[in-house]
Order: sequence, then structure tokens, then C-alpha cells
Amino acid sequence: MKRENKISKFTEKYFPYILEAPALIIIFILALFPLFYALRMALHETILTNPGSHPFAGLNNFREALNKDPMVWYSLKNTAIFTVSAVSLEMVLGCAIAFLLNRKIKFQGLVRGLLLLPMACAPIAVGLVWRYMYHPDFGVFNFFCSALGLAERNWLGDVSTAMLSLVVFDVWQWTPFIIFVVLAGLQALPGEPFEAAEVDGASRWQIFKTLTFPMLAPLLIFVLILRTIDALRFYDPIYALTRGGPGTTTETITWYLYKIGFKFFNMGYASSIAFIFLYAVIILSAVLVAVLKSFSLEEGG
Amino acid sequence: MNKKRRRSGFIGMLVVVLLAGLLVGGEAEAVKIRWATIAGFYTDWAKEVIKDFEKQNTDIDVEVVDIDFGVLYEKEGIELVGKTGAYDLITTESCWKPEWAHAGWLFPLDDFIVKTPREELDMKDISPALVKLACSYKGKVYALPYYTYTQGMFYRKDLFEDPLEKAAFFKKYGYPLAVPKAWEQHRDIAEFFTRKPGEKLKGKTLDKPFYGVGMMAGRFPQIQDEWMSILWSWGGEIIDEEGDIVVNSPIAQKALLHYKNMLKFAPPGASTSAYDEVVAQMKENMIAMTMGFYLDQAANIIKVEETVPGAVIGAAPAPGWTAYIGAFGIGISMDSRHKEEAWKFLKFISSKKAQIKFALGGGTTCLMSVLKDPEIQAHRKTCWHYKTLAEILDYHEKHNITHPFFDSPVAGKIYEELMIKINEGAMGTKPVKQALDELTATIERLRAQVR
Amino acid sequence: MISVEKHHFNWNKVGIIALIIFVVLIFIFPIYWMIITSFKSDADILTRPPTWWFKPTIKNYIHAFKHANFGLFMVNSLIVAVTSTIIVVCLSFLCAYGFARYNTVGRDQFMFFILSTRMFPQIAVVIPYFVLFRNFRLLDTRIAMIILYTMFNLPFAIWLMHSFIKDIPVDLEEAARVDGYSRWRILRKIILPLVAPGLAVTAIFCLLFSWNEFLFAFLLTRTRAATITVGVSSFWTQRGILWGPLCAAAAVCVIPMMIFVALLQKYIVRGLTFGAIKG
Repeated sequence: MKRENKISKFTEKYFPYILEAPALIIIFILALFPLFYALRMALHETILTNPGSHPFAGLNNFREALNKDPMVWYSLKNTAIFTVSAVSLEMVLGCAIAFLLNRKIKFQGLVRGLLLLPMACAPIAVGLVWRYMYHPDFGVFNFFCSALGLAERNWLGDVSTAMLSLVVFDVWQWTPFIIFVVLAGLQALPGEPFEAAEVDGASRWQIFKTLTFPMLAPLLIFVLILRTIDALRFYDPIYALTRGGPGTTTETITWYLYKIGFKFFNMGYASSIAFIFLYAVIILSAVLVAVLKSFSLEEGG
Repeated sequence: MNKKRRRSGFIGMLVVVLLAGLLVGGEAEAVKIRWATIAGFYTDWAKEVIKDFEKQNTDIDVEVVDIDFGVLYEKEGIELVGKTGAYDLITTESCWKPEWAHAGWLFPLDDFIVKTPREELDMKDISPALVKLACSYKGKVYALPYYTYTQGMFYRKDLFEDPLEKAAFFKKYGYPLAVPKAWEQHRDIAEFFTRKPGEKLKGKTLDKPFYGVGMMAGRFPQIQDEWMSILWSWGGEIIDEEGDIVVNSPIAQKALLHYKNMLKFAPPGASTSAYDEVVAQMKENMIAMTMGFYLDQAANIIKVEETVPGAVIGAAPAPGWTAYIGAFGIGISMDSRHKEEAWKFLKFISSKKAQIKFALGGGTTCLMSVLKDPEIQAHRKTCWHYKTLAEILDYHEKHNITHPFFDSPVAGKIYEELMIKINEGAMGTKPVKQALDELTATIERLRAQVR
Repeated sequence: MISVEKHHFNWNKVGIIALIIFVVLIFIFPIYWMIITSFKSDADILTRPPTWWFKPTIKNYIHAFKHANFGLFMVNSLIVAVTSTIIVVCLSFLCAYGFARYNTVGRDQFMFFILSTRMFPQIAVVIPYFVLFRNFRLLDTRIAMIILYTMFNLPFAIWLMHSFIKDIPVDLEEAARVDGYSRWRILRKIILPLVAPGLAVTAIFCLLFSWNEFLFAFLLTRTRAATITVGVSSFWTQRGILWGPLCAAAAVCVIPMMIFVALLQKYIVRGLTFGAIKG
């Protein structure tokens, strides 16, 4: 009897910690260990093809990444170009299509179900299928081009179209994300302000400018943050479609990291770049979150 | 909710059982060795060889792991770096051998070789040029080559011997149309045979464009092989005898410029082509000849004689003889736990019997006696290129041709970077000089990191 | 007057429907193309222009399963995805409840940490995980992948479940406490049924992520534990890409997840936005 009481008292007091412990232990061990290991590699000259131990190098890797390697900045530029192009296209298209779908139509469920499909596809698998569609000789995109009277191109091999091809792929896969979130946001908007505005005789554009957009803004920014952070990790489709080519024109920071880490086996250098990148992304997100907070009246993400 | 619980409980049990099965496993009695190799490269022959070997050695099980060549370097590399011993037999490319030997990941085979009787393995039979390039590092042997892709050149013999074409060529260029011995001649021939629809070829009017040369100018390792053929024949190198980096020397720039200018005589798909596309182009009657090209594709490219009526395929040494040379070798990983067994299989694969089977199956062996055997050369469908290949390898040995590049401990990494820079220079993304200068800077950085 | 209005209205409606159909077709076209290519023979695939009518064959699927060992990859993915999902759902449910109802130490910092784990480039942590699993002799095992994916999905799952639990009014639990229910009983009998949709969403996203993950599966497995995504990428061989079997493999990889996602579309928005926005 007494022992049971003791146990139940114990579990009462530490109840939340018992609940949280398993998950948190796993996370802390499995997330912090690699992080510290990567940091250790970054602080040493960790070139895996050199036999013997790895001498301490202090901040050399970081210095080299920031000062002596033009490819770091070049690949960051590519990352920025890709992310900005893809995400802005997704936002614009996503909003437009959400507005298009925000009405009573038959087969709502079917339409939504079908539009969800791109997001369910493994990027590597469907990326390779897109490689086939982009094929200069046998691909179906060039077929559509010639049918419409446009020039056929070597989408993945041409410097002028390679990045665009990647952006189009990402837009295809993730615009539905924006569509559904904006749609949910639109459908959650309160009705009264809009009815009142219509009664007042405001034009559709005015309603949009003064009501819809400001009310949706926190949502849009939140989804922009999420989408941006995910777009920055773009890797699988590059593996499937261009592998950084032609030349290095589609080498984003993730691909450059792969090259340094697994082709040159210079893991110390790769880790240092990764940390620099993490730092940059944290700052970027902090800025975006601050913007979000200034727009938002309720709690944001 | 009960249903969900029950279902997840069932799944959980199933998973536990499966995992238990995996964990408990059960040690097989035979020794298991693993051979990592290139996917698609005569895997059928590999399976046959394994069957034969396992019949003779019932206590050894060989598992072959196929890995796509594009990622073979990092997949094998990560296991070697991690010292996992996962792969006992490692397939090496000529450029990876010095790197991995230097890193101490490959087991030196000299002791094994010395103990092996000549009937089982005749080291003298392996082309000396290939042994130097693909097997040894600092005097020790680290791999045995089982497959060579040494380059020569393929050309449409029927076009070269057609009287109408010969007459027209002589009229235009002032010298007879023949297999080119210099790259300038090669260029002339390529220009000569590049025709638009409506023009004639062999007296017949063309309904689609025809191109003088097929090029592997895509961002794949093959582009630098084509470029190095030109570079080496003009006396250039990537790293010279003194160890200096000369990849941006005037000769190298001239070679890259020459390569870039050849693109106008190649089909538009050249910018994303690898060797598969060039073979397809030949088979579809689109090109008259190749640049320096892998002779091991002979079994495939000869099919042009079936697809194009009247076509006859010919092989010759590339202009200057010194087209890209190399072989895939098999080495034993330093962390292999079954080195003796791995050696047994390695010498079995390299034995004359297995290599003859390989040759007849369409592979290109490195054993000189097999290459020079007239009976084997007579197998037109698979071995018709052996005579040319033997000549090329003899030439290399006679003139003691070496390339210091293959002894550099960062050769593999240079190789990875080469394809990007050569592609940039060839495509015009960057001026030739800039691309090669950047390449030099990268190589310097890589070399500075070697200990 | 009336007829003009009607006419105008009809065109507008038809135009909208046409536009919607057009949009939907664009988004599902690549999937459609993948599926029909998987049923084409080689001769029909490498054609110019592409063939729209053809004689279907299941040769590609047979090739994938017989010659490329695809069945094993599917089973591996299934085991790894399902097991890690089960673990994640259970642990995240408990942990999220703790976070939602109790002001434990470090809760807010932890929430930020969760978002930041998504910001670190994955490539840079492959080697550390490789070393970790190698030291425990777990390379090329399904257990390693299960552990890894559990770790990847837990933060997101915790956040998601947190938002679902926060939806439940505390009064229910307080009433139950008054009635003498123990905390565990409350969890089981009251909270669990109410967050069932949340569990479903979390499960879906964990399954989706584990099933579709490529980089770590590619570098940390060899032959025994390779997952379906690694299998699909293996059709890109030195002999050129085998488009037919590739599309068959891709279809097998993609279709199960598509079905899942379509069935649970009601909760998708919730999941996509970490629970912040209700669908």
C-alpha cells in the first residue's frame, strides 16, 4: 500500500517529465551529437583521404570559406536565385489558384485530392521522371514546344534554361502547398467585414487591398517562411536532374557541400560552410519572423 | 480506437518478429566476400564467373554489389573512409588508385602475387602500360585490371573508302582522305562530312542532317577523356614530370580551344552527351566518326552495320596514338576481413580462362595474349577491335608513355573537377583560359591539403 | 437585359471551370506521364515524337521486381516507415501533452530548436551519423534507418501534436480529475480519442517523410537495408537510364503515398503548417 502511494506520488510530481523524457532524450542524443561532431570536424583539418590524425585548425576552415573560396559565394548566389524565384512563383501562383478555387464547385474533394498529389511524390523518384520529360530528343516538353511553335531546347544542358528547369519542377511540386494553406486561410476569414464592405459599395480591388490582403498577411508570411526554409534544402531534384550542371550553374550550396564532402572528402571544410549557412538562415528567419510579428495581431508560428 | 490499437499492435508484433529475424540472422558456413562493381558493365559475365568460382571453391560465397559509376567513387569511398570492411573487393578507376593507395585504403598485392604460380596469374601477360597506369603506385601493385576502356577511334569505313567522297575530299583539301594521323586532319574530315539535308552523302541525298563527328561533351567524366586525348598527343599534360601543374599551359588552352571548335561539327545533343549517345548517333547514321573513343564499345557500335545499310565500321588509333588510356581494376580493401579469399577470387577473375570468357562475352580484356590471339580476334561481333587495341598498348609500352597525372594522390578529385571545367570551357560558359586557370587553382588547393 | 446577364454569367462560370480543369491537368500531367510510360515498351519510350497511343506491357514492372530486387526495397521502406512512424506518434503524443499542459523547463527554447533543426544542411551531418552507426555496427540495417527517421520526425511531430492538444479545452481534464481519474487514465480515455485526427495527421507526415527520404538512405545503406527511393535512383545506370523500369519503380514509390495523402486531405493543411493553421 505504502509503496504504491510512493510510486503514484512520484509519477504525479514528475508526470510531465516522464511524458517528455523518451522523446527529448532521443532528440538530444541524436541531434546534438552530430552537431557537435560536425563542429569538431569544422575546427580540424578533416580531410578523410589523408591518413593519420586530423590536426587542429581553429577557424581556418571558416576563414577559407569566407575569404578564399569564390565558389562558396557563387553557390550561395545560385541558392538565392533558386529560392527567390521558386518561392515567389509559388506564392503568386498559389494565391491566384486559391482565389480561383475559393468558390462552391462540384467535385471539390476530387480537385483538392488531385492537387495534393505532387506533394506526395518522392522528389527523387518524380525528379527522374521529369528528367525524361526534359529530354531534348524524347522528352514530352519539347514536343509541346514544337507543337506550340516554340523553340525546342536542351532544358537541362543549356546554361540559360537549367536553373529555370529546376525552378519549374519545384513550383510544380510545392505550389499546391501554398494553394491549400491560402485556401484554408480564405475560408477562415470572417464574413462580416466583407459583407459590410460590399454593402458600402467598395470595388473588388478595394476589398482585396484593404481587407483580404491585410487579414491574410500573417498567414502568407508564415507560409513564406516555411516554404523558404524548405526550399533552401533543395537537393534530391538536383541529383536527379542536373547534378549541378551545366558547368556549375545549378550548383546550390547543398550540392556544393555534397561535392566537397563526398567527392573531395574534405569534411572539415564542408562542415564549416554548413555552419556558416546555418547562421545565415537563422538570421534570415529571425528577420522574417520579426516581419511576421509586426503584421500579426494574433500569435504567429 | 480499439481497432486502431489492435492493428498497430499487430504491426508492432510483425515488425518485432522481422527485426528479430534480421538480428538473429545466422552465420553462414561459407566465407562471404563482397565485390563492389559498376552497375551495367557486364554484370551477366560477372555472375557467370562467380558461379564458376564458387563451384571450384565451395567454401567461399561471392556477393556482387552493383553501383552506378556516377556515384561509385563516393559509395566505395565512404566505406573505405569509415573502415567498415563492407566491401572486400573494390573496383577502382585509374585515377582513384593513387588516392586510395596513398590513403592506405588498398591492400598491396605484391606478397600475394609473388606467392601465386604463373599458371594461375601471369603478371607479364597484363599490358605493362596498363599495369603502370591502373595498378601500381610508388612501386607497389594495388589492383589488377580486368577491363580496359583505352581509347582509339571509330569511323565509318564505307564513307572513307567511297570513291565519290574521296575525290571530293582531295579536291577540297589537297590530300587523300584516310584515317587521320593528326588532329588537324581529323578536323578537316569532320568538317567535310558535316552536311545539311539536301546535300549528298555517298551519292545519295540526305533527308536529315549528317555530322562529321560525335562528341561526348556533356558534364560527365567522358568529356575530359576526349580532351586529354588531344592534349596528350600534342605533348601537354595535366601534371608534368617535375610535378608542376600545367593544365593551363598554352598547349592545354590550344587543345581545349580545338575541342570547342569541333563542336560545330557535332550533333546539337553533344552538350549533354556521354558515350551512350555517341554510340546511338553512330547507329542512327548521324555521324561519320568519333573523337578519341572507348574501344570497349566495339561490341555495341558494330551494330551500325545492321541498322544502316552499307555501313562498315572501322577502328583505328586516335590521331597521335595517345588517346585516353586506362582500365578498371579490382583491389582488396585494407579493412577486408577475408583478404585471402578475396585474393582467390581476384586471381580467378584475372586468369586467362575467365578473361577469354569475358572477351567472348563482349568485354575488353587487359591480357595481351588474349588481345593478340587471332582466333579470338576473329570473333567479329565482340572482339573485332582487339588488333587495334593491341597495337595501341604496344605503342605505349614501346615508347614508355606515362602520364604523371595517374600518380597524383589527388587524381580522383582532380578528375571530378575536370569534367566541370572542361565542360565550361567547351560550352563557352567561361573563356578557355579562365576555365583552365580556375582548374589550376583548385588543383593547387587540393594538393596543398595532402599529407 | 436578363438574357444578356444570363449569357454573361454562364460564360463566366464555364470559363472558371475550364480554368480549374486546366490547372488540375497541369499538376497531374507528370504523374499521368509517369504511369503511362511505365506501361510502355522500350520502343515506345525512345520515340520522337512521344507516343500517346501504344500497346501496354507490364514488362517494366517485372524487370523492376525480378532483376532489380525492387521487392526488397519496398519491404525495407515499409518496415522502416511504419516502425518509425509508430514510435514517433507514441512518443510525440506523450511529449506534446507534457508541453501543452505543463510549463516545464526549457519548453519555449525547445520549440525554437525544433524549427532550427530544419535549417541545418543535411549533407553536413551524414558523416557524423555514419560514424555513429558504424561504431554500433548498424550500417546498412533497417534499425539504423528507423532510429534516424524517428529522430528526424520527432521535432515536427511534437509541434504538430502540441497544436492539436492545445485545441482541447482544459475543462474536460479538470472535470475528470475531480471525478478521481488518474492522469494516465485521462490521457488514455479522454485525450487520446479527441486527438485521433492529430495522430492521423502526424502519422501521415511521418510516413510520407520516411518513405520519400533519399540522401541518408543512399549513403547509409548498401544492399540489405536500401529503401525504395534508393531503388528508384539505381535505375540510372552507366548504360543509360532505363526509363521504363524507372517509371515503373517511381510509380510504385509514389502511388501509395498519393493514396494516403488523398484520403486524409482534410487534415493536410494542419500538418503542412505545423498545426498553426486549421484546414
